[in-house]
Amino acid sequence: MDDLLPLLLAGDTAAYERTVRAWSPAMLRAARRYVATPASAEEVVQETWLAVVGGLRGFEGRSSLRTWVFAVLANIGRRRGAAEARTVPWASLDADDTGATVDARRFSPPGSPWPGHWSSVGAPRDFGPEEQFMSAEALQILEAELAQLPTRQRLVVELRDVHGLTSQEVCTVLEITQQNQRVLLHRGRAALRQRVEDLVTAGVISWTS
Amino acid sequence: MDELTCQQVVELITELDEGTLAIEVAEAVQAHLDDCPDCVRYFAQIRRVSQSLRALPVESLPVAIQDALTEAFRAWSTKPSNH
Repeated sequence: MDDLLPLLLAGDTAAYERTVRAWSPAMLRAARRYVATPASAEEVVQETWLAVVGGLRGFEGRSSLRTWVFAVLANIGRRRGAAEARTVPWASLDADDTGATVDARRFSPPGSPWPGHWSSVGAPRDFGPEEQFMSAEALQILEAELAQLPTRQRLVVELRDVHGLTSQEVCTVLEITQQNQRVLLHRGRAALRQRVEDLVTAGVISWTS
Repeated sequence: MDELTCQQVVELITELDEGTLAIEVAEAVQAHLDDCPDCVRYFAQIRRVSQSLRALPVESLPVAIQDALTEAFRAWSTKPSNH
């Protein structure tokens, strides 16, 4: 990626198009932190790219180009989003974000021989052989479960695990702290894992197909 | 530090993978995992779910917008530089 800025400054259209194609899916998702509709998200992303190109000659390289693009998106998203009055609070954690991510009843209680350790009935169920990949059907179910997560957990998990953003990039584009990002990621992943376990237990999905 | 219970360890997996645990806590987590196949399984499941998400389809910017951006880029790149 170090080579990208010189290419863009030199007017390499193919490099620009590749970058737009590669980075825009994550940008579209991230824009949803600020605006309510897919159409608005597209506008935010388009404005972002225009602002990025306009600012390229002045880019000082204090961050990576990619982090900078995400920072520009956050600015534009926030400006647009003010009008759309987002109701989901982002900066702080709330009641959804505290407490254990695994049901306490799955561990031996205080006073038992091994308090705090998995009980024999509570221990994680086997998901199936490690070398099996998820079937297309199981992936569809996983996608549906992801869509059901609380909004902020969903967005952090999507940006990190579906789109592969780094934690720094997520914090920059969503304007949240590292700690909040970690909490949301932790809770989102734990919730997804739990849903998969429930479905495996119920025989709805198997990892051995 | 004191040995960790499973109930404590399952809340530490993300920080472990992010590399943000204090060294003695990371070591305590690892010591617990060395002896606890249930927690090893739990950790493996969390990682497996998050890795599986990589395969999900993503939405792209509509082609019409991509084309408009390309045109704007071409126009910008042919303007004389101010620097």
